[in-house]
Amino acid sequence: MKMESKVVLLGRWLISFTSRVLRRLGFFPFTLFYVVINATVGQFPWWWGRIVLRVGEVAGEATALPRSVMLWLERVLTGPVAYRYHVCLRLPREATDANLHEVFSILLTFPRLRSVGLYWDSSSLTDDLSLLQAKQDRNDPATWATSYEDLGSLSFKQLQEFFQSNHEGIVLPVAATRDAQTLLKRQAGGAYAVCLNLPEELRSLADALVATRPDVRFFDLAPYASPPAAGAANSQSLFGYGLNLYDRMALAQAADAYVGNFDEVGCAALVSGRPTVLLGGGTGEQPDQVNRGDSAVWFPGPVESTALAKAVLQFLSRQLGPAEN
Amino acid sequence: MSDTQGRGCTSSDAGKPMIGIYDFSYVPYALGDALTWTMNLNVSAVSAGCDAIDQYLVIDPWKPGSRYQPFVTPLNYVSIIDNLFPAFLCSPMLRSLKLFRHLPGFNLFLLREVMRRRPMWPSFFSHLNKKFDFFSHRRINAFYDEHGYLPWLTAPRGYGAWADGFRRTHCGGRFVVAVNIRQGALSLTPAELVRDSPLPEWHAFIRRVTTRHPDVLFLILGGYTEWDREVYRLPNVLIPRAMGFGLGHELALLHRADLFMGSSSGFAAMATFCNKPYVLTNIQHLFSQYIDVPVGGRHYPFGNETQILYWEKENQDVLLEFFEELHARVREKSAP
Repeated sequence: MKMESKVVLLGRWLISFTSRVLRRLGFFPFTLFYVVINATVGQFPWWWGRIVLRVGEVAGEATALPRSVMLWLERVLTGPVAYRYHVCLRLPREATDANLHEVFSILLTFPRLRSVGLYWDSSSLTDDLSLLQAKQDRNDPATWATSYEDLGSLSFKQLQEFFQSNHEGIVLPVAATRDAQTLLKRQAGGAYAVCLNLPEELRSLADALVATRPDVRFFDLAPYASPPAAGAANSQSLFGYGLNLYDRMALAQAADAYVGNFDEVGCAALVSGRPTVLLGGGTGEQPDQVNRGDSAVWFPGPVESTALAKAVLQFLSRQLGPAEN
Repeated sequence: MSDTQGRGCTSSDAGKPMIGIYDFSYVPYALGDALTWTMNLNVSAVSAGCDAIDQYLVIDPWKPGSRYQPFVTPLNYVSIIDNLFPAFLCSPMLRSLKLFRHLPGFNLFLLREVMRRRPMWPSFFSHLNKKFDFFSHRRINAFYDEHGYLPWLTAPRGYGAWADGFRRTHCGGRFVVAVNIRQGALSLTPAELVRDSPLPEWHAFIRRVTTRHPDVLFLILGGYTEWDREVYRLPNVLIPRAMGFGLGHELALLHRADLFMGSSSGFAAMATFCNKPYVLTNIQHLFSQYIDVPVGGRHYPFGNETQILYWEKENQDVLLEFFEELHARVREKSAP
């Protein structure tokens, strides 16, 4: 071991030991020493890892902000393991959708985030940025250049990049994952379970899937379960179950396949590597269908319902095997 | 209704900020405590001449809970803070909210604010000692005595307009009563079951009100596990959690309701501090010393005649009597 490494290790041990002792004492003036030492050593990348700052801004209306934030973080929180991230979000005072709680939920699924700042005021953000930027590693231009990103709207290209890229993965709370596994175990047993999350205009697709695949159990997250699908023995509406965003994402990850919106739940399914069919989300000029190997397919724009049902059924047959008659 | 109601100032660019520190190493994960803390912060901000609030939530991910909440662990704190988050959005002066799960980062910000001599609640010294009074109404009562008003809480940031829309869509001009029946026994973290309310009495009360006042709509608030299945069978009842909504929506609906009725618990704190007409039942006698109201006292020092405290375990007759009184008063007040 090099002499330099030994010095760093010894320094770490000494600071860590001192911090632990001061923290354990837990009262003034030891807590003051702890705060000062802690804030000081936090400045050094060799101690806490490199600090990287990311700033997102919602300039106008953002109708799908949780998804936008998730895609953004997936893209910008990539770097060596030692990197630690601070994220700032500049938000409008008046939101289009009441989804700030879900944005917060999404932020917490990224374990490499060390702090999250939500700002409804420019001066406050500017003030904090000056401090956070000073903590970044000045020798690394990639991290030093703090760029603002508009999270208001997502282009087809951005969605496609997310769809095709490799994902580091999000970490859901263990309770959500456990409860989703338990629910599927109890309700589906050994049968294949497919999570449905379709918009109202595609309810006929749910009906077609449920009728054509009686061997598969469908778990429907949509708020508008159509009567035929809801009444079928192999379909179950989960809308009234009071599931929060973590529960829904965990369910999408625990099921054997996901068919539904390209929203944050769909993103969770894709990130987990489960067979996934994503629908909608595209704008402007776009292909009818985008594939990600054999495991995922995305229909960005509107597709004629019969053709869509056929394509989705073929996909499920490939992933789960053909229907048992 | 405006989300900036009350006389507290609203946040604006370059305002004079108050720093709020909610450090979970010594303050609990609890709805009532979070809302009382926010109210104390509002009061402190106005007292210090501030017109904006910068909130810091601090969690040590390796030891996320205080010694009073040992069930909060590194593996479950994300769910717990996520469930509580909307409670921190209820100050109309809020201009930023920061969550730190990196103590060196937070301590750096803390030292910066100390060097700038920014007003802070709790004070720097109290924070260092990890001891301060965040749960009593002492500061709130003193502010009210001095100024004759309070800087009330409001619907969580971003949820007020949604609640207005919900009322238009689902409530259709009816008299809306937000209800929370404390059922610690059904919660995910059971505690102090003696504070739970008798469910059959509440169910009977709702049935009787529906017969007498068919225009009344009850919104049942609380976690999905915390209400009884029979609630589904009650007339004129909506359950926001069963409609896919969460705590942020519930707090906003409470803020927009005509009346709140419920056990002394987290939602009761929201009703208390957003100046709703209310009846709070089953108040612990121990609580008396913290709110500066003698046991049996009918109102908080800052409460009015439509804001009633009831110190005993409620029954359907008592609930009906209070409801009739408040229903008439609120109707009378809102009549053109």
